[in-house]
Amino acid sequence: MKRFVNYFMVFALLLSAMVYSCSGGKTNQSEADTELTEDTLAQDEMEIMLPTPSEVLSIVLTSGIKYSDGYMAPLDIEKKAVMVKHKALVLGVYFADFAYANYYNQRNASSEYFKALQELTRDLGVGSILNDAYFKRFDANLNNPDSLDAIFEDFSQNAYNTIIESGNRELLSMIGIGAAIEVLHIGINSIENAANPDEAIATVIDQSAVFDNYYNNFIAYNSDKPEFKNLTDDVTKIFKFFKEKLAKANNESVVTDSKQHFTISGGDTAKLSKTDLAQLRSMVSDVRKKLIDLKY
Amino acid sequence: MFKQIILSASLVVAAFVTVNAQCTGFHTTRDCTPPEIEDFKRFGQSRSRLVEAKKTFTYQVVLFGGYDYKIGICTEKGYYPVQFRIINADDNSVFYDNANDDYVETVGFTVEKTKNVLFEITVLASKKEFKDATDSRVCAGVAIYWRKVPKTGF
Repeated sequence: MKRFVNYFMVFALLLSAMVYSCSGGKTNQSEADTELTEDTLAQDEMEIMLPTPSEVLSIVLTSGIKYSDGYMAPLDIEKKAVMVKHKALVLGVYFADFAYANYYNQRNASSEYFKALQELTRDLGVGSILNDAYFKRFDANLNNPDSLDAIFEDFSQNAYNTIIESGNRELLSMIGIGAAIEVLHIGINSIENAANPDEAIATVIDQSAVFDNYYNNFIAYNSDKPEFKNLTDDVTKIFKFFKEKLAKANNESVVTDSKQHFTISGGDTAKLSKTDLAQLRSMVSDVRKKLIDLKY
Repeated sequence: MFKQIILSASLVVAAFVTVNAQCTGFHTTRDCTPPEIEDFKRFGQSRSRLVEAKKTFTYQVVLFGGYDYKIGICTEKGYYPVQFRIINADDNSVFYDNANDDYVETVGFTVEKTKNVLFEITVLASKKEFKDATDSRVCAGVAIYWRKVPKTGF
């Protein structure tokens, strides 16, 4: 009898789960409040989106900048990372490095970083979410370069969204801050071999808007966590630096060009001096070193 | 007993995940795809999610300078129109409001300088009557496509 009750309980729960999911979450009024908390936003709630590292790098790596594997973090850090926070931060760093290698079609390096991402995402419990979409395809196409390129491109563009839509936004906030620092590190160091350094410096300024989103998203989830205090302090310094140095002119205007098309013009910012740039480079290098040395 | 609790919890979580996942990729559907995007790529900050009709969903994105954008807004049949506004995150000034444009579902624009903006989406569902609050839940998607501004001249 007891066994029958157990089976009945399991069946009832399964049935309710199926009915609930098939109805698209539409239930009676008494359950409405609890459902609202996870996936429906209140009027004043706001979500911060994170540009993917590949998108940011496509802006940062202006014409003439050469590939350098010295800008990327060493592989195998993931093997030393034990704590979840370290795995998440390193995953972010590797996301950026993977995107960097992929941008320059460095297939061997891309594959190595992709494997590290595979291992880290599995350890963090999001590997299964990414498995069918990317990892299985990667394993099945190891000898097919064109397919690998397509998988890498797809992964670069959509992995963040896949993680968000699976309900792992808090984890993505940690991954994101690692990626943001690594992309900044690559961007700042790339200036030295840019054909047009002024253009390259301007892209670092562009990254302040990107960093704004990554920083605020990280703070939203982690500012009150004691284990992130040092990292929070360090990235806050970078955030404040951008706010202080890159005051905006607030001269935006909208020009309607034709029906259903307009241009948002203006929005100039101050420029970074060489001293400012050196200061930023020092701050970013410091955070990045602590990230890959697992010091946070 | 412990196993039962774990099992029950897992099933409840599974149900929630399934509900959340029902809107996954909604922005990739044909209804959400703006026209004439041959030279454009999908932007990673495109988004789908479950929203409540008549309530505003806001999200902050980064738009890169020197790029053209095309945006498609979509929801489920019977829940249109959708109001869509693009707001300057620095001073909350409104760059665009499709209410001034008969609630069109696609718009194209160019951004000269990289900036943080807010996308505000409100599923108005003006012809829909809801039986209860939960009936108003619906998928909404914002599909963003982008390309570098083509060089002009000789």
